[in-house]
Amino acid sequence: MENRLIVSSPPYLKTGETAHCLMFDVFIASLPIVGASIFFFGPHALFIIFLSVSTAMATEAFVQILFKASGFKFKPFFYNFLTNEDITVFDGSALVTGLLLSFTIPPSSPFWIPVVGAFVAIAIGKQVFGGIGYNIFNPALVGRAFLLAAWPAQATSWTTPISWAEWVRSLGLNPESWMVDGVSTATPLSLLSLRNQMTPLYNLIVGNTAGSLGETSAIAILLGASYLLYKGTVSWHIPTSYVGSAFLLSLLLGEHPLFHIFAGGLLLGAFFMATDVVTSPVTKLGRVLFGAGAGVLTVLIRIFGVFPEGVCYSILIMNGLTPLIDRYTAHTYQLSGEGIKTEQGGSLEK
Amino acid sequence: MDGFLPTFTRRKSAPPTFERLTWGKSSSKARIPDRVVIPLQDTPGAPYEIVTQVGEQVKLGQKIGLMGKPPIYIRVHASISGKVDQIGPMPHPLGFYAHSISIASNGRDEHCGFAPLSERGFGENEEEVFGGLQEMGIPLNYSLLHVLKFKISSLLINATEFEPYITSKHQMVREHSQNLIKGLQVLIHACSARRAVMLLEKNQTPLIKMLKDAAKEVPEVTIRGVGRPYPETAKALLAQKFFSKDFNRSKVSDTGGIMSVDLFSLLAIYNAWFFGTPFTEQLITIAGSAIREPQNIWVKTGVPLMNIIQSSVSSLSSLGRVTMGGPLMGTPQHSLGVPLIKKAKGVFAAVAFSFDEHRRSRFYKRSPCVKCAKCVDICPASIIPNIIVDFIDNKHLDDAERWGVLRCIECGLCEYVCPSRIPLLELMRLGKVFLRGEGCLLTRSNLETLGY
Repeated sequence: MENRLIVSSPPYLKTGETAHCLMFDVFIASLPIVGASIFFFGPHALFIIFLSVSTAMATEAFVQILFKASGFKFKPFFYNFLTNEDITVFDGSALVTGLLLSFTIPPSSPFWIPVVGAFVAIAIGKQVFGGIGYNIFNPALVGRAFLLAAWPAQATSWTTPISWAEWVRSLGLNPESWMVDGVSTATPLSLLSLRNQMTPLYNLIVGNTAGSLGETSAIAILLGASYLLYKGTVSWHIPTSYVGSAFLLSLLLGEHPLFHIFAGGLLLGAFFMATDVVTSPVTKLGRVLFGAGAGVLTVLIRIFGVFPEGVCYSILIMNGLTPLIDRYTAHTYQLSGEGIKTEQGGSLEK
Repeated sequence: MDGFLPTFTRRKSAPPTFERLTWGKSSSKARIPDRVVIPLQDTPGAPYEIVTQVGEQVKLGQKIGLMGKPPIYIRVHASISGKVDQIGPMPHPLGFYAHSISIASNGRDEHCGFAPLSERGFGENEEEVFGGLQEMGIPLNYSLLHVLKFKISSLLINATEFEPYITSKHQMVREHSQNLIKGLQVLIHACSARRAVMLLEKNQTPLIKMLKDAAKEVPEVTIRGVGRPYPETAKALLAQKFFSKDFNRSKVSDTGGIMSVDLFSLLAIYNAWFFGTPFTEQLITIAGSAIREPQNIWVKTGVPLMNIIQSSVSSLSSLGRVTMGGPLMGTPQHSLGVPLIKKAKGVFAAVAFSFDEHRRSRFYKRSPCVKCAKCVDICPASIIPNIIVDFIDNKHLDDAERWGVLRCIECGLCEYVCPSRIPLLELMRLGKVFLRGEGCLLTRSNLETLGY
């Protein structure tokens, strides 16, 4: 034949989806949370989010230039930076990690807290393991756990939501007046465990309480989560089993179940942290077990543990168990020694 | 960030069917080709027999050879009238050189006289009926019949269209529903089966109604609507699903009694039984981006692909990829001279446009698996493609087998949904070759010389 035909393996149709579509889906879903955090904690929240995201992306680029992009040339820097195939800063995963890390940071923390957290999240949480797809633990939660262990005072100093009217009134030419003065207070969970004081459920759902940037407003989280579920980026298994098991266990232990679901970072953890595709199991039963285990651990740490909040550690523990869960929930088949394999997948003996 | 834009569309996990391209068009007959190539082997080294010689004038329907070895064989017939001009190894669509008979047409569509099978004394017992079907060149699972000593209790006919673009099965049901049921009746009678289940997509209500009307007087036949189409390789899966048998154990008694029958065989059985016509004509869909007007056509068996697509392709020079079968499971062809085989349901031809790997953006190349589990969610065989492929990449073949690589039915849906663009199907096939590669085209030693 005169024209040469291409012989390659089927299928020749693709959905057209790429791995960073998944990341940008999470980015879009977290926009309502960004809006809620700015609304409740003022412009300083935007500053923290910006610092966290930019540090995360810069760290990823830095690590990849140093260690991964072997033939990287510094001379026409931007050209090489944009065209090198080993530099995957723009695939959105560092963006999402930085964003999710900033959601777990207190609104009044100093500027270096998100910077150090994002650096640790990307460098130690992700790139040490080999980059996207190979990390064992959720990078954002690794950063959060590091901050909590290294600077517990700064990482747990909470403030009340600001009053926008007062802030606008106090604005002046002096840069010091741009800062927000939040009143120090405790989160609903610490109030419960230390002073046995319940926060009204309405405040928890709207988000008008003290807490980390992204975890207070249940409405914003559920809005973003519904987008993720609609797009099929996350499946329903993990969030449902996470929230359901936390509900049931807190009911059994005689606590207020709805309070435990809406207080603290349980919803943020269930819909945004635990559903991180890389660090959660792949089998359906495994996903349900993962969510249930994380929910049970969260409630146990909250009620019996030293910390008032247990979402971060529960998800990290379950991340570590993910390969085991995969191994024990997958259907395995026996090795068949002799015997003819048929096209039907069964085997016929002679 | 050029992969950013597809973020804003929501995708279904099932591939689109492109049914509308051939919707409402009735099938047409292709004109008689000037040459047909009829292969006598379907695997390399398979036994065959030739009962003709070069230079002989043959007529349509004349017996010219034998595929396989009695008692398990299929008779091969000339599909056009003309002169045998060549006998020897010729390219086969599955990628090897098969012994074939090439016939040059004389332009006249003469055929030798046919007498219906029922009048030729083939109807005494089931062995004779199946012997008659073998003589008529109808592909059925004869080896299964012989293993089971003709004890078939249930028949399974998968009439769902799994391949996008290909609609030939639906077209056949639309045009020949009565005849299909009559052919099925012959088969049920022949093997005294108690049940026959025919599967169609739920949304094809007119077709289901047609078949139900035709099968009103046959109590054994059930027409079932299923939610999603199943590939033709999913026989054991479907048998498990619709006859509740456990297929996971490696015992003959478990697979026993269920025979999966091709829809096209039913019409061939009807023609053979009532008119005595051998299987020399088949219905295929030609579609794809290189085809001007997708359609269903009746073509002779063994017609080269060139003759099929010549008249409907827009320009031969821009042709990039021609596959026998659809775009999800088809076999790619290296040349247009290969003949059409009896199991083919369609020809998919695509123009050469941005196929090159190095011209793609880096976001559309293979990247590490992010374990999104979309392949696990969509897999009809309920295996875990991403982890198995990881095992195969690292040469942990025992683990790959334990996790079910041999259960893969090669439907290609995992690769269709994969956002990381991992060649899952190709790697699965490689793993199968590594594990059971003795009788394959690509043997293990071959692969080692190639550098795997």
